[in-house]
Amino acid sequence: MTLYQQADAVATTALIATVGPALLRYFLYHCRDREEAADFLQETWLRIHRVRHTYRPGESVLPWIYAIARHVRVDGYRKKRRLESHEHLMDIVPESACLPALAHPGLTDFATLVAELPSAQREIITMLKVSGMSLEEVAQATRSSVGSVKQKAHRAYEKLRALKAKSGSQRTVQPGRNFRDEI
Amino acid sequence: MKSDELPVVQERITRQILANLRPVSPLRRTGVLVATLLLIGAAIVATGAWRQGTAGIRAESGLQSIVVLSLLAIALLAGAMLTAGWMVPVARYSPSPAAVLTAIVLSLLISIVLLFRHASAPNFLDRGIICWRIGLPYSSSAALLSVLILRRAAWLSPVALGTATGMSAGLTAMTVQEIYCPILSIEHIAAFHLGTVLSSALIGTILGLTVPHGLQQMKRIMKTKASGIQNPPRR
Repeated sequence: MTLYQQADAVATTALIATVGPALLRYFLYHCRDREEAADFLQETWLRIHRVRHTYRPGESVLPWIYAIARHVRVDGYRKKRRLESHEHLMDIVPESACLPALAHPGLTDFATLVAELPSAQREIITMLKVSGMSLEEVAQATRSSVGSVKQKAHRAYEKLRALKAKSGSQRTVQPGRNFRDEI
Repeated sequence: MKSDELPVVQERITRQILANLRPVSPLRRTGVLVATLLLIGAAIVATGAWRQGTAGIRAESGLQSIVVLSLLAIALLAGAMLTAGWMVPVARYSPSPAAVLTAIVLSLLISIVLLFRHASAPNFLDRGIICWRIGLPYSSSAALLSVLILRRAAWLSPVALGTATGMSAGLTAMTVQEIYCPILSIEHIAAFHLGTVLSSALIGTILGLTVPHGLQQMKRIMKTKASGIQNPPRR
């Protein structure tokens, strides 16, 4: 990141290649479709580029990047709500059964379960288990306390356990488990 | 988008970023930003005391001056820390500016009610408006000077940053008012001194809500005009 601030092209390319896929996954868990997730990814990188001077060398990079991604997602949601409020429905639109983003063959068990969680809990779980961030880093990215993050994560785990039990699966959701391999 | 399309998207993003890659110097540490914002506040207060006089301090008792000015100094520090915290995307637990504003206003209001007395002053509104109008330029000056620091902010939460800046500017103006204004009634201080803080915070919030949206609209219009010039409509 420091090299990116110094305009090192190789470091910039490496940073985008390393963080890009995890960022896209983060958006996929919150968006309706892949096009939208890709748009968010592009917007996030453009915003990261615009405010790259606000990263302070020595600090964790992931919370800084995810805080920007979070803002892009919230702004995108608000923009969509604003546009939808001006739209008039001319015909009955067929209801979608599930999030189209989750229809991807790569996103299986975990994605289906996580889609059931409220947005705030889904965000925390995605950051913790998909991006591999620590509780402290997630707290920084979401501007909340570590205790609040722990509480949300705990509630999410409880809900995931209940869902897992309901679906009759043999596997159980464990708090310490990393879901990266499942995706 | 299919899974094999990710490299295409990444490549497009990389190309866009590399095209505009220039070295940048990192933002100063939070401590430096807080100190600079406090320095701006102190300079405005000193200018206010020099221009308007210190009749207020002379009229107040020692206890009144110490308590109110100490509370204002703490509030200014809190405001500067809040502003510096919202300048960057990431921060350890940072309260919302609305919560901090409420806490500051309540603590100041309680201290005013406990320390000052009720007094039925003639021309309450006229004198109050004069006092408020004297405070407003100091509040605006503090806000404008703060923009010199804020121009490097990430501006991801313009409303929060606007409220925090407005509140800090209002607190600076209230300090000036406390130093020069000799009217010591609860009603006057609560309505027109504390009112400066609230009105400045409100103006900051409104600017935070409208300015980024307005700038976006302006950019869109400029872009549309530029494309219209490049591609004139066919007849």
